[in-house]
Amino acid sequence: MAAGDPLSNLSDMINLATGGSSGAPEQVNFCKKAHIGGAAASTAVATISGRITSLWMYDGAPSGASTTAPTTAAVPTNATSGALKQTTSAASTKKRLISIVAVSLVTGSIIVYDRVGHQGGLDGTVTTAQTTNLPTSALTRRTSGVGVEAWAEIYTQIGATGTTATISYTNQAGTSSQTSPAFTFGGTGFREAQRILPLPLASGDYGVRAVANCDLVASTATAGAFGITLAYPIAILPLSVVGVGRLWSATRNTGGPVDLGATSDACIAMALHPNGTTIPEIFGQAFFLEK
Amino acid sequence: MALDYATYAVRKNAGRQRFMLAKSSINTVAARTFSSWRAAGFPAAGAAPTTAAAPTEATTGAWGQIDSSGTQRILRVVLSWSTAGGLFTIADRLSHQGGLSGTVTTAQTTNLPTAALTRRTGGVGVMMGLEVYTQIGATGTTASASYTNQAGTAARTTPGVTFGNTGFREASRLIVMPLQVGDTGVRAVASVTVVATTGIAGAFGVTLFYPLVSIPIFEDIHDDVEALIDGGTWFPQVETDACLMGVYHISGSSTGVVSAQINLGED
Repeated sequence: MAAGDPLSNLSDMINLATGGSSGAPEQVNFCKKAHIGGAAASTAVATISGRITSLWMYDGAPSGASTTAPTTAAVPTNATSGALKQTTSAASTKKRLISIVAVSLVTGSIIVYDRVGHQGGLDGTVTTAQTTNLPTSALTRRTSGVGVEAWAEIYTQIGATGTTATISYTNQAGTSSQTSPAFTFGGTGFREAQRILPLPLASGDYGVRAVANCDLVASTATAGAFGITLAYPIAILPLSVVGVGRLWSATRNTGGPVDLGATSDACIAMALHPNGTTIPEIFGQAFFLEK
Repeated sequence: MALDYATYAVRKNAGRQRFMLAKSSINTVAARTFSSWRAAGFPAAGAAPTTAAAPTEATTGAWGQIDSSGTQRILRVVLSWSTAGGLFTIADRLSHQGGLSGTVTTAQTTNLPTAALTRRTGGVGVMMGLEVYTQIGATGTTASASYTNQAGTAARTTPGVTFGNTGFREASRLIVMPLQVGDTGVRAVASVTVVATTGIAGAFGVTLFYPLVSIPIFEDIHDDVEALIDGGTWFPQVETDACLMGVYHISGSSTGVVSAQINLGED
Protein backbone atom coordinates (compact mmCIF):
# COMPACT_ATOMS: atom_id res chain seq x y z
CA MET A 1 0.00 0.00 0.00
CA ALA A 2 1.28 3.47 -0.73
CA ALA A 3 1.82 5.96 2.04
CA GLY A 4 -1.32 7.88 2.73
CA ASP A 5 -3.67 5.08 1.71
CA PRO A 6 -6.71 4.78 3.92
CA LEU A 7 -6.54 2.42 6.84
CA SER A 8 -7.62 -1.03 5.77
CA ASN A 9 -9.42 -2.25 8.87
CA LEU A 10 -9.22 -2.38 12.64
CA SER A 11 -6.27 -4.71 12.47
CA ASP A 12 -4.41 -2.17 10.38
CA MET A 13 -5.19 0.57 12.89
CA ILE A 14 -4.09 -1.56 15.84
CA ASN A 15 -0.91 -2.40 14.01
CA LEU A 16 -0.14 1.26 13.33
CA ALA A 17 -1.08 2.33 16.84
CA THR A 18 1.35 -0.19 18.29
CA GLY A 19 4.20 0.98 16.10
CA GLY A 20 3.91 -1.38 13.16
CA SER A 21 4.22 -0.27 9.53
CA SER A 22 5.85 3.03 10.58
CA GLY A 23 2.65 4.07 12.28
CA ALA A 24 4.62 6.46 14.54
CA PRO A 25 1.99 6.45 17.30
CA GLU A 26 2.16 9.68 19.21
CA GLN A 27 0.58 10.89 22.39
CA VAL A 28 0.27 14.55 23.41
CA ASN A 29 -0.49 15.24 27.06
CA PHE A 30 -2.06 18.64 27.58
CA CYS A 31 -3.46 20.93 30.18
CA LYS A 32 -4.93 24.41 30.09
CA LYS A 33 -4.83 26.47 33.28
CA ALA A 34 -7.42 29.05 34.23
CA HIS A 35 -5.16 31.99 33.48
CA ILE A 36 -3.19 33.81 30.82
CA GLY A 37 0.24 35.20 31.60
CA GLY A 38 0.32 33.75 35.10
CA ALA A 39 -2.30 33.54 37.81
CA ALA A 40 -1.36 36.78 39.56
CA ALA A 41 -1.87 39.09 36.58
CA SER A 42 -4.04 36.89 34.42
CA THR A 43 -5.89 38.46 31.52
CA ALA A 44 -8.27 35.50 31.22
CA VAL A 45 -11.83 36.64 31.72
CA ALA A 46 -14.92 34.85 32.95
CA THR A 47 -16.73 32.94 30.28
CA ILE A 48 -20.27 33.71 29.24
CA SER A 49 -22.60 30.79 29.00
CA GLY A 50 -23.25 29.93 25.40
CA ARG A 51 -20.49 32.14 24.02
CA ILE A 52 -17.33 30.51 22.68
CA THR A 53 -14.07 31.15 24.52
CA SER A 54 -10.74 30.73 22.79
CA LEU A 55 -8.14 28.75 24.71
CA TRP A 56 -5.37 29.78 22.32
CA MET A 57 -3.64 32.08 24.78
CA TYR A 58 -4.32 30.15 27.98
CA ASP A 59 -1.30 29.05 29.98
CA GLY A 60 -0.77 25.35 29.71
CA ALA A 61 1.37 22.42 28.72
CA PRO A 62 2.32 22.50 25.90
CA SER A 63 2.47 26.22 26.44
CA GLY A 64 -0.20 28.59 25.27
CA ALA A 65 0.43 31.77 23.32
CA SER A 66 0.16 33.66 26.62
CA THR A 67 -0.21 37.42 26.23
CA THR A 68 1.08 37.54 22.64
CA ALA A 69 -1.83 38.03 20.28
CA PRO A 70 -1.42 37.54 16.54
CA THR A 71 -0.61 40.63 14.49
CA THR A 72 0.52 40.15 10.90
CA ALA A 73 -1.28 37.51 8.95
CA ALA A 74 0.26 34.09 9.40
CA VAL A 75 -0.40 30.40 9.04
CA PRO A 76 0.06 28.83 12.47
CA THR A 77 1.54 25.36 12.52
CA ASN A 78 2.29 22.60 14.97
CA ALA A 79 5.30 24.65 16.06
CA THR A 80 3.24 27.67 17.09
CA SER A 81 2.73 28.17 20.80
CA GLY A 82 -0.91 27.64 21.58
CA ALA A 83 -1.03 24.45 19.53
CA LEU A 84 -0.85 20.87 20.78
CA LYS A 85 2.48 20.58 18.96
CA GLN A 86 2.21 17.03 17.74
CA THR A 87 5.11 16.16 15.45
CA THR A 88 4.99 16.71 11.71
CA SER A 89 4.19 13.51 9.85
CA ALA A 90 6.85 11.96 7.63
CA ALA A 91 7.10 13.12 4.04
CA SER A 92 3.99 12.23 2.07
CA THR A 93 2.59 10.40 5.09
CA LYS A 94 -0.69 11.48 6.57
CA LYS A 95 -1.00 12.41 10.20
CA ARG A 96 -4.21 11.04 11.66
CA LEU A 97 -5.99 11.92 14.86
CA ILE A 98 -7.27 8.82 16.64
CA SER A 99 -8.83 10.17 19.79
CA ILE A 100 -8.90 12.91 22.37
CA VAL A 101 -9.87 12.61 26.02
CA ALA A 102 -10.35 15.53 28.38
CA VAL A 103 -11.89 16.76 31.60
CA SER A 104 -12.84 20.32 32.42
CA LEU A 105 -13.61 22.60 35.32
CA VAL A 106 -16.52 23.99 33.30
CA THR A 107 -19.36 22.21 31.60
CA GLY A 108 -19.76 22.78 27.92
CA SER A 109 -18.08 21.49 24.78
CA ILE A 110 -14.44 21.55 23.81
CA ILE A 111 -14.04 22.40 20.14
CA VAL A 112 -10.89 20.91 18.66
CA TYR A 113 -9.85 22.57 15.42
CA ASP A 114 -6.99 23.13 13.00
CA ARG A 115 -6.07 26.80 13.20
CA VAL A 116 -5.25 27.34 9.52
CA GLY A 117 -4.82 31.11 9.59
CA HIS A 118 -4.89 34.10 11.89
CA GLN A 119 -4.10 37.76 12.18
CA GLY A 120 -4.79 40.60 14.57
CA GLY A 121 -4.55 44.31 15.13
CA LEU A 122 -8.12 45.17 14.16
CA ASP A 123 -9.82 47.99 16.02
CA GLY A 124 -13.24 48.10 17.66
CA THR A 125 -13.69 51.79 16.88
CA VAL A 126 -12.76 51.98 13.16
CA THR A 127 -15.84 52.22 10.97
CA THR A 128 -14.24 51.95 7.56
CA ALA A 129 -13.32 48.63 6.00
CA GLN A 130 -10.27 47.49 7.94
CA THR A 131 -7.43 45.91 6.00
CA THR A 132 -4.71 46.09 8.66
CA ASN A 133 -2.78 42.81 8.55
CA LEU A 134 -5.24 41.56 5.95
CA PRO A 135 -5.83 39.64 3.78
CA THR A 136 -5.30 36.48 5.76
CA SER A 137 -2.39 34.34 4.63
CA ALA A 138 -2.97 31.84 1.87
CA LEU A 139 -4.08 28.52 3.28
CA THR A 140 -1.46 25.79 3.37
CA ARG A 141 -3.91 23.25 4.79
CA ARG A 142 -7.53 22.74 3.79
CA THR A 143 -6.55 24.80 0.79
CA SER A 144 -9.90 24.51 -0.92
CA GLY A 145 -11.48 26.32 1.97
CA VAL A 146 -14.30 23.80 2.18
CA GLY A 147 -15.35 23.58 5.80
CA VAL A 148 -13.03 26.37 6.87
CA GLU A 149 -14.78 28.85 9.11
CA ALA A 150 -13.96 32.50 9.71
CA TRP A 151 -14.06 33.62 13.33
CA ALA A 152 -13.68 37.04 14.88
CA GLU A 153 -11.38 36.49 17.85
CA ILE A 154 -11.10 39.24 20.46
CA TYR A 155 -7.72 39.62 22.17
CA THR A 156 -8.33 42.83 24.13
CA GLN A 157 -11.86 43.75 25.12
CA ILE A 158 -13.63 46.04 22.72
CA GLY A 159 -16.48 48.38 23.57
CA ALA A 160 -19.84 48.08 25.24
CA THR A 161 -21.68 49.68 22.36
CA GLY A 162 -23.25 46.98 20.30
CA THR A 163 -23.10 47.27 16.56
CA THR A 164 -22.80 44.97 13.57
CA ALA A 165 -20.01 44.08 11.19
CA THR A 166 -19.36 42.22 7.97
CA ILE A 167 -16.35 40.60 6.38
CA SER A 168 -15.33 40.46 2.76
CA TYR A 169 -13.89 37.08 1.89
CA THR A 170 -13.02 34.54 -0.78
CA ASN A 171 -15.21 31.49 -0.65
CA GLN A 172 -14.52 27.80 -1.21
CA ALA A 173 -14.94 28.20 -4.96
CA GLY A 174 -12.29 30.88 -5.11
CA THR A 175 -14.83 33.67 -5.61
CA SER A 176 -13.57 36.82 -3.95
CA SER A 177 -15.44 39.81 -2.60
CA GLN A 178 -18.10 37.71 -0.99
CA THR A 179 -19.78 39.64 1.82
CA SER A 180 -20.96 37.94 4.97
CA PRO A 181 -24.31 38.70 6.50
CA ALA A 182 -23.98 41.27 9.25
CA PHE A 183 -23.10 39.84 12.63
CA THR A 184 -23.44 41.30 16.12
CA PHE A 185 -20.24 42.91 17.36
CA GLY A 186 -19.53 44.74 20.62
CA GLY A 187 -21.67 44.81 23.74
CA THR A 188 -21.99 42.10 26.38
CA GLY A 189 -21.26 38.65 25.04
CA PHE A 190 -19.69 40.07 21.92
CA ARG A 191 -16.81 42.13 23.25
CA GLU A 192 -14.85 40.19 25.87
CA ALA A 193 -11.25 39.13 25.57
CA GLN A 194 -10.91 35.52 24.41
CA ARG A 195 -14.35 35.66 22.80
CA ILE A 196 -14.73 33.83 19.49
CA LEU A 197 -17.54 34.91 17.20
CA PRO A 198 -18.12 32.38 14.40
CA LEU A 199 -19.02 34.41 11.32
CA PRO A 200 -21.86 33.58 8.93
CA LEU A 201 -21.27 33.22 5.22
CA ALA A 202 -23.14 34.48 2.21
CA SER A 203 -25.93 32.28 0.96
CA GLY A 204 -24.54 29.34 -0.99
CA ASP A 205 -21.09 29.41 0.59
CA TYR A 206 -19.69 26.69 2.78
CA GLY A 207 -16.10 27.66 3.27
CA VAL A 208 -13.51 30.38 3.34
CA ARG A 209 -10.15 30.61 1.63
CA ALA A 210 -9.25 34.12 2.72
CA VAL A 211 -10.64 37.21 4.43
CA ALA A 212 -9.87 40.58 2.88
CA ASN A 213 -11.39 43.03 5.31
CA CYS A 214 -13.69 43.56 8.26
CA ASP A 215 -16.15 46.46 8.30
CA LEU A 216 -17.86 47.74 11.46
CA VAL A 217 -21.06 49.69 10.98
CA ALA A 218 -20.42 51.79 14.09
CA SER A 219 -17.80 52.17 16.79
CA THR A 220 -18.06 49.92 19.83
CA ALA A 221 -16.46 52.85 21.73
CA THR A 222 -13.32 50.95 22.76
CA ALA A 223 -10.57 50.06 20.32
CA GLY A 224 -9.45 46.91 22.08
CA ALA A 225 -7.92 44.46 19.65
CA PHE A 226 -9.36 41.68 17.61
CA GLY A 227 -8.50 39.59 14.62
CA ILE A 228 -9.74 37.09 12.10
CA THR A 229 -9.03 33.41 12.69
CA LEU A 230 -9.58 30.75 10.05
CA ALA A 231 -10.47 27.46 11.63
CA TYR A 232 -11.26 23.93 10.47
CA PRO A 233 -13.26 22.18 13.21
CA ILE A 234 -12.24 18.57 13.78
CA ALA A 235 -13.96 17.29 16.90
CA ILE A 236 -16.30 18.32 19.65
CA LEU A 237 -16.11 16.87 23.15
CA PRO A 238 -19.27 17.49 25.12
CA LEU A 239 -18.49 17.78 28.82
CA SER A 240 -21.80 17.62 30.58
CA VAL A 241 -20.61 17.39 34.17
CA VAL A 242 -17.83 19.30 35.88
CA GLY A 243 -14.97 16.94 36.58
CA VAL A 244 -16.27 14.09 34.41
CA GLY A 245 -14.09 13.25 31.46
CA ARG A 246 -15.12 12.58 27.90
CA LEU A 247 -13.45 10.59 25.14
CA TRP A 248 -13.81 11.54 21.51
CA SER A 249 -12.91 8.49 19.44
CA ALA A 250 -12.46 8.93 15.71
CA THR A 251 -13.42 5.30 15.24
CA ARG A 252 -16.76 5.85 16.90
CA ASN A 253 -17.47 9.39 15.75
CA THR A 254 -16.18 9.51 12.19
CA GLY A 255 -15.67 5.89 11.21
CA GLY A 256 -11.91 6.13 11.34
CA PRO A 257 -8.96 8.35 12.18
CA VAL A 258 -9.20 11.97 11.07
CA ASP A 259 -6.92 12.83 8.17
CA LEU A 260 -4.84 15.90 9.05
CA GLY A 261 -3.03 15.91 5.72
CA ALA A 262 0.21 14.65 4.25
CA THR A 263 3.44 15.88 5.79
CA SER A 264 1.04 17.50 8.19
CA ASP A 265 1.94 20.46 10.35
CA ALA A 266 -1.61 20.99 11.53
CA CYS A 267 -2.03 23.52 14.30
CA ILE A 268 -4.41 21.66 16.58
CA ALA A 269 -5.98 24.06 19.05
CA MET A 270 -8.98 24.19 21.34
CA ALA A 271 -11.88 26.46 22.18
CA LEU A 272 -14.61 26.04 24.73
CA HIS A 273 -18.33 26.51 24.31
CA PRO A 274 -19.18 26.86 28.00
CA ASN A 275 -22.31 26.34 29.98
CA GLY A 276 -21.19 28.52 32.84
CA THR A 277 -19.07 31.47 33.84
CA THR A 278 -16.06 29.80 35.45
CA ILE A 279 -12.74 30.36 33.75
CA PRO A 280 -11.92 26.94 32.34
CA GLU A 281 -9.16 24.54 33.24
CA ILE A 282 -8.65 21.41 31.16
CA PHE A 283 -6.58 18.22 31.38
CA GLY A 284 -6.32 15.55 28.73
CA GLN A 285 -4.51 13.66 26.03
CA ALA A 286 -4.61 13.41 22.24
CA PHE A 287 -3.46 10.44 20.21
CA PHE A 288 -2.15 10.33 16.66
CA LEU A 289 -0.74 7.88 14.18
CA GLU A 290 0.64 8.10 10.65
CA LYS A 291 -0.04 6.31 7.43
CA MET B 1 6.32 -6.94 16.78
CA ALA B 2 3.23 -4.72 16.76
CA LEU B 3 -0.21 -6.06 17.54
CA ASP B 4 -2.96 -6.76 15.11
CA TYR B 5 -6.63 -7.43 15.79
CA ALA B 6 -6.17 -11.16 16.33
CA THR B 7 -3.38 -10.82 18.85
CA TYR B 8 -5.07 -7.88 20.55
CA ALA B 9 -8.35 -9.78 20.91
CA VAL B 10 -6.62 -12.57 22.76
CA ARG B 11 -4.20 -10.53 24.84
CA LYS B 12 -6.73 -8.04 26.16
CA ASN B 13 -8.31 -10.90 28.04
CA ALA B 14 -5.39 -13.24 28.53
CA GLY B 15 -2.42 -10.97 28.39
CA ARG B 16 0.90 -11.41 30.00
CA GLN B 17 -0.28 -10.21 33.37
CA ARG B 18 -3.34 -8.97 35.12
CA PHE B 19 -2.87 -7.02 38.26
CA MET B 20 -5.29 -5.68 40.75
CA LEU B 21 -5.45 -2.65 42.91
CA ALA B 22 -7.79 -1.44 45.61
CA LYS B 23 -7.08 2.03 46.95
CA SER B 24 -8.82 3.66 49.86
CA SER B 25 -10.90 6.72 49.35
CA ILE B 26 -9.27 10.11 49.37
CA ASN B 27 -10.99 13.45 49.73
CA THR B 28 -11.03 15.56 46.61
CA VAL B 29 -12.23 18.91 45.32
CA ALA B 30 -14.56 18.68 42.36
CA ALA B 31 -12.76 18.73 39.01
CA ARG B 32 -9.36 19.40 40.57
CA THR B 33 -6.40 17.09 39.96
CA PHE B 34 -5.45 14.66 42.71
CA SER B 35 -2.78 12.00 43.11
CA SER B 36 -3.34 8.45 44.28
CA TRP B 37 0.21 8.15 45.58
CA ARG B 38 -0.62 8.46 49.25
CA ALA B 39 -3.88 6.50 49.14
CA ALA B 40 -3.83 3.46 51.41
CA GLY B 41 -4.77 0.03 50.24
CA PHE B 42 -3.34 -2.47 47.82
CA PRO B 43 -0.67 -1.78 46.69
CA ALA B 44 0.38 0.09 49.80
CA ALA B 45 0.47 3.84 49.94
CA GLY B 46 3.60 5.53 48.79
CA ALA B 47 5.63 7.54 51.25
CA ALA B 48 5.79 11.29 50.98
CA PRO B 49 9.11 11.73 49.23
CA THR B 50 11.93 13.79 50.64
CA THR B 51 15.19 13.59 48.71
CA ALA B 52 14.91 13.60 44.96
CA ALA B 53 14.42 10.16 43.50
CA ALA B 54 13.32 8.43 40.31
CA PRO B 55 10.71 5.91 41.47
CA THR B 56 10.31 2.55 39.80
CA GLU B 57 7.86 -0.32 39.91
CA ALA B 58 9.68 -1.50 43.03
CA THR B 59 9.05 1.73 44.93
CA THR B 60 6.46 1.39 47.67
CA GLY B 61 3.32 3.01 46.33
CA ALA B 62 3.87 1.88 42.74
CA TRP B 63 1.38 -0.60 41.32
CA GLY B 64 4.12 -3.14 40.94
CA GLN B 65 3.64 -4.65 37.50
CA ILE B 66 6.19 -7.20 36.32
CA ASP B 67 8.55 -5.86 33.71
CA SER B 68 8.69 -7.36 30.26
CA SER B 69 11.67 -8.04 28.05
CA GLY B 70 9.53 -6.85 25.16
CA THR B 71 7.01 -4.06 24.71
CA GLN B 72 4.24 -4.17 27.26
CA ARG B 73 0.98 -2.26 26.92
CA ILE B 74 -2.19 -1.55 28.84
CA LEU B 75 -4.93 -3.37 26.92
CA ARG B 76 -7.85 -3.39 29.30
CA VAL B 77 -8.92 -1.73 32.52
CA VAL B 78 -11.90 -2.69 34.65
CA LEU B 79 -12.53 0.08 37.14
CA SER B 80 -14.91 0.80 39.96
CA TRP B 81 -14.97 3.89 42.13
CA SER B 82 -16.99 6.43 44.01
CA THR B 83 -20.48 7.63 43.55
CA ALA B 84 -19.56 10.32 41.08
CA GLY B 85 -18.12 10.43 37.62
CA GLY B 86 -14.69 11.65 36.68
CA LEU B 87 -11.52 10.85 34.78
CA PHE B 88 -9.12 8.14 35.89
CA THR B 89 -5.64 8.58 34.50
CA ILE B 90 -2.91 5.96 34.72
CA ALA B 91 0.44 7.71 34.78
CA ASP B 92 4.11 6.84 35.08
CA ARG B 93 5.61 8.61 38.08
CA LEU B 94 9.03 9.52 36.72
CA SER B 95 10.66 11.64 39.39
CA HIS B 96 9.66 13.10 42.72
CA GLN B 97 10.90 14.94 45.75
CA GLY B 98 9.42 16.62 48.80
CA GLY B 99 10.13 18.75 51.81
CA LEU B 100 9.02 22.06 50.31
CA SER B 101 7.20 24.54 52.53
CA GLY B 102 4.02 26.52 52.06
CA THR B 103 5.43 29.43 54.07
CA VAL B 104 8.86 29.96 52.49
CA THR B 105 8.80 32.84 50.02
CA THR B 106 12.29 32.61 48.60
CA ALA B 107 13.24 30.24 45.79
CA GLN B 108 13.16 26.79 47.38
CA THR B 109 15.86 24.33 46.40
CA THR B 110 15.49 21.81 49.24
CA ASN B 111 15.83 18.32 47.78
CA LEU B 112 16.04 19.87 44.32
CA PRO B 113 16.86 19.56 41.47
CA THR B 114 14.63 16.61 40.71
CA ALA B 115 16.34 13.32 39.96
CA ALA B 116 17.30 12.82 36.34
CA LEU B 117 14.65 11.10 34.29
CA THR B 118 15.31 7.44 33.63
CA ARG B 119 12.22 7.08 31.43
CA ARG B 120 10.81 9.58 28.91
CA THR B 121 14.27 11.10 29.15
CA GLY B 122 13.67 13.61 26.38
CA GLY B 123 11.06 15.30 28.53
CA VAL B 124 8.52 15.79 25.73
CA GLY B 125 5.05 15.38 27.21
CA VAL B 126 6.41 15.03 30.73
CA MET B 127 4.18 16.99 33.07
CA MET B 128 5.16 18.79 36.23
CA GLY B 129 2.96 18.92 39.30
CA LEU B 130 3.21 20.43 42.75
CA GLU B 131 2.02 17.58 44.95
CA VAL B 132 0.76 18.39 48.44
CA TYR B 133 1.58 15.79 51.09
CA THR B 134 0.54 17.72 54.19
CA GLN B 135 -2.08 20.41 53.78
CA ILE B 136 -0.69 23.89 53.33
CA GLY B 137 -2.38 27.12 54.31
CA ALA B 138 -5.63 28.85 53.55
CA THR B 139 -4.03 32.05 52.27
CA GLY B 140 -4.10 32.02 48.52
CA THR B 141 -1.00 33.04 46.64
CA THR B 142 0.84 31.94 43.51
CA ALA B 143 3.77 29.63 42.82
CA SER B 144 6.10 29.09 39.91
CA ALA B 145 8.95 26.74 39.11
CA SER B 146 12.30 27.00 37.39
CA TYR B 147 12.94 24.02 35.15
CA THR B 148 14.81 22.49 32.24
CA ASN B 149 12.61 22.00 29.21
CA GLN B 150 12.37 19.27 26.60
CA ALA B 151 15.22 20.79 24.59
CA GLY B 152 17.58 20.73 27.56
CA THR B 153 17.35 24.49 28.10
CA ALA B 154 17.66 25.32 31.76
CA ALA B 155 16.26 28.23 33.78
CA ARG B 156 12.86 28.20 32.16
CA THR B 157 10.13 29.66 34.34
CA THR B 158 6.54 28.51 34.50
CA PRO B 159 3.73 31.04 34.60
CA GLY B 160 2.52 31.41 38.17
CA VAL B 161 -0.29 29.16 39.33
CA THR B 162 -2.76 29.57 42.15
CA PHE B 163 -1.32 28.02 45.31
CA GLY B 164 -2.85 27.74 48.76
CA ASN B 165 -6.48 28.17 49.88
CA THR B 166 -9.40 25.92 49.07
CA GLY B 167 -8.84 23.73 46.06
CA PHE B 168 -5.11 24.41 46.04
CA ARG B 169 -3.91 23.24 49.45
CA GLU B 170 -5.35 19.82 50.22
CA ALA B 171 -3.33 16.69 50.82
CA SER B 172 -2.92 14.65 47.62
CA ARG B 173 -3.69 17.70 45.52
CA LEU B 174 -1.59 17.66 42.34
CA ILE B 175 -1.33 21.13 40.84
CA VAL B 176 -0.29 20.63 37.23
CA MET B 177 2.09 23.36 36.13
CA PRO B 178 1.91 25.23 32.82
CA LEU B 179 5.06 25.80 30.83
CA GLN B 180 6.90 28.84 29.56
CA VAL B 181 5.89 29.89 26.06
CA GLY B 182 7.44 27.53 23.53
CA ASP B 183 7.87 24.51 25.76
CA THR B 184 6.31 21.06 25.48
CA GLY B 185 7.85 19.20 28.38
CA VAL B 186 10.13 19.01 31.38
CA ARG B 187 13.38 17.22 32.07
CA ALA B 188 14.11 18.58 35.53
CA VAL B 189 12.96 21.15 38.08
CA ALA B 190 15.53 23.28 39.87
CA SER B 191 13.46 25.39 42.24
CA VAL B 192 9.98 26.41 43.30
CA THR B 193 9.01 29.91 44.39
CA VAL B 194 5.90 30.65 46.43
CA VAL B 195 5.17 34.37 46.18
CA ALA B 196 3.61 34.81 49.61
CA THR B 197 3.13 32.54 52.59
CA THR B 198 0.02 30.37 52.57
CA GLY B 199 -0.02 30.56 56.36
CA ILE B 200 0.85 26.92 57.02
CA ALA B 201 4.09 25.19 56.06
CA GLY B 202 2.54 21.81 55.42
CA ALA B 203 4.65 19.85 52.98
CA PHE B 204 4.67 19.61 49.25
CA GLY B 205 6.98 18.52 46.47
CA VAL B 206 7.55 18.37 42.77
CA THR B 207 6.37 15.32 40.83
CA LEU B 208 7.25 14.70 37.20
CA PHE B 209 4.83 12.32 35.58
CA TYR B 210 3.74 11.05 32.19
CA PRO B 211 0.05 10.25 31.69
CA LEU B 212 -0.39 6.98 29.81
CA VAL B 213 -4.13 6.71 29.39
CA SER B 214 -7.19 8.50 30.74
CA ILE B 215 -10.51 6.77 31.24
CA PRO B 216 -13.73 8.77 31.57
CA ILE B 217 -16.02 7.34 34.21
CA PHE B 218 -19.68 8.16 33.91
CA GLU B 219 -22.65 7.92 36.17
CA ASP B 220 -22.57 4.19 36.55
CA ILE B 221 -19.15 4.44 38.23
CA HIS B 222 -18.13 1.04 36.97
CA ASP B 223 -16.48 0.64 33.66
CA ASP B 224 -14.72 -1.95 31.58
CA VAL B 225 -12.45 -0.16 29.19
CA GLU B 226 -10.81 -1.84 26.28
CA ALA B 227 -8.03 0.01 24.56
CA LEU B 228 -9.45 -0.59 21.11
CA ILE B 229 -12.71 1.28 21.45
CA ASP B 230 -13.26 2.73 24.90
CA GLY B 231 -9.63 3.68 25.26
CA GLY B 232 -9.75 5.60 22.01
CA THR B 233 -7.78 3.01 20.09
CA TRP B 234 -4.68 3.71 22.10
CA PHE B 235 -2.41 1.05 23.51
CA PRO B 236 -0.18 2.85 26.00
CA GLN B 237 3.24 1.36 26.45
CA VAL B 238 4.33 0.64 30.00
CA GLU B 239 8.06 1.15 29.98
CA THR B 240 10.49 -0.99 31.93
CA ASP B 241 10.59 0.07 35.58
CA ALA B 242 7.50 2.24 35.16
CA CYS B 243 6.11 3.46 38.47
CA LEU B 244 2.40 3.38 37.77
CA MET B 245 0.06 5.60 39.75
CA GLY B 246 -3.37 7.11 39.44
CA VAL B 247 -4.24 10.72 38.73
CA TYR B 248 -7.83 11.50 39.62
CA HIS B 249 -10.35 14.06 38.46
CA ILE B 250 -13.75 13.55 39.99
CA SER B 251 -16.98 15.50 40.07
CA GLY B 252 -17.50 14.87 43.75
CA SER B 253 -15.66 15.34 47.04
CA SER B 254 -14.13 11.89 47.43
CA THR B 255 -13.04 9.05 45.22
CA GLY B 256 -14.56 6.29 47.27
CA VAL B 257 -12.68 3.03 47.18
CA VAL B 258 -10.97 2.72 43.83
CA SER B 259 -10.60 -0.83 42.62
CA ALA B 260 -9.24 -1.81 39.27
CA GLN B 261 -8.07 -4.74 37.26
CA ILE B 262 -5.47 -3.86 34.66
CA ASN B 263 -4.55 -6.25 31.87
CA LEU B 264 -1.17 -5.88 30.28
CA GLY B 265 -0.14 -7.56 27.08
CA GLU B 266 3.05 -7.78 25.12
CA ASP B 267 3.52 -7.04 21.46
